[in-house]
Amino acid sequence: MTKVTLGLVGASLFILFAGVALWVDRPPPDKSTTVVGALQPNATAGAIYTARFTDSEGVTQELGKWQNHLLVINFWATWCAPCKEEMPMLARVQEKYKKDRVQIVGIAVDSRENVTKFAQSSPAVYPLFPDESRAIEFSKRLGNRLGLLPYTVVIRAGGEIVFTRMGLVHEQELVELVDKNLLK
Amino acid sequence: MKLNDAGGTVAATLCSRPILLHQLLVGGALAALIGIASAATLSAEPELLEPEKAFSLSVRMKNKATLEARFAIADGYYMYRDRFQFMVNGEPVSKSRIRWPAGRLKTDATFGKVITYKNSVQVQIPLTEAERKAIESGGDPITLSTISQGCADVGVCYPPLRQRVTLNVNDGDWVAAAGEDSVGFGARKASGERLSDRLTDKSTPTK
Repeated sequence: MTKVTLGLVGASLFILFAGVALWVDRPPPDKSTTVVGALQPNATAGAIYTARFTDSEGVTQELGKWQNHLLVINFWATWCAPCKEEMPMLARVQEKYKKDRVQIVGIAVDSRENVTKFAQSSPAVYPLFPDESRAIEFSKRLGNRLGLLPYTVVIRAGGEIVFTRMGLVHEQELVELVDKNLLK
Repeated sequence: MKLNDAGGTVAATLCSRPILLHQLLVGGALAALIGIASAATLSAEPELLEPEKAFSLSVRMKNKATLEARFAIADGYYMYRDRFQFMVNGEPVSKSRIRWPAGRLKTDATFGKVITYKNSVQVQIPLTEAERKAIESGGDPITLSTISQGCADVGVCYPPLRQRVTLNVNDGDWVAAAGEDSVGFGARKASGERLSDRLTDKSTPTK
């Protein structure tokens, strides 16, 4: 066997072992960044549907209003560039399902003034609720451990959380989630 | 046939087909590389730092008239210049009074041109005459409160982070007081405990 062949054998074995070692030693997935399982329906429904927020026009609404809908809660802020980046996508999805029981709501970790200003320049097709003091805490209760933005939660009608995402959600991914979980 | 002979025979057989052997080795190496790439992808989900670790604040007296705040910024994170706010002993510091390092001009799709910092940022805050006199006459402690905001390159942003450091005079040196407040906006010191009531803790197995 030539030196080259031996070298290749050695290199292959090394790479193979390194691959196996990496696989075995991989950290457990961080549930706050990936799809998580459903929560206890009662706890989820209680925590979510009794939450009340006031929109940028001063109208207070309870999330329970949409308990028969597939509810997509998007936590965002005007100071968060990736949040604003995904908002047009959320608007497209809301438009796509406007005749279905699908409701997107944006809860802003921001002041009413900032959100009102933003809504005037970029009208949203779904409600925007500024709540600088409570939004982060609420998102933490929905699994956003560090309170980072954007953070999106998808909740089936009735209160079962079927998806959480810290960071951007892709349009196709959200559409597939809606199609899969929407009650027809 | 002796074992050595058998081994030699196998080796000889393989060596007699060098192209096949090389193809096998190259194939094996590629498969192993794909395995590594897959493992790396699975573990590539962002594991983000607590805000105080991502944007770690330290404060010192640079000289008798200047306070220096240094944020050590973890790899993969950045901070916005426009989002900094400082208070000395509870009094807001105007931005024009602050000496900023150059930073990086970033063209943000949402915000346009913004100045950001990576790795670290050292901000110098000249003290007012009143602040200097108060310190010189009584050796009063000096407290710097900051609000800052940054993001991670993976596409998530941290809420405004409030931190506070008090410097005391100790044998002529300024030292930071122990146990200073350094918690994020909207969080409490007991936030770790409060995670126990996260709804996800009650989750059913991952789907």
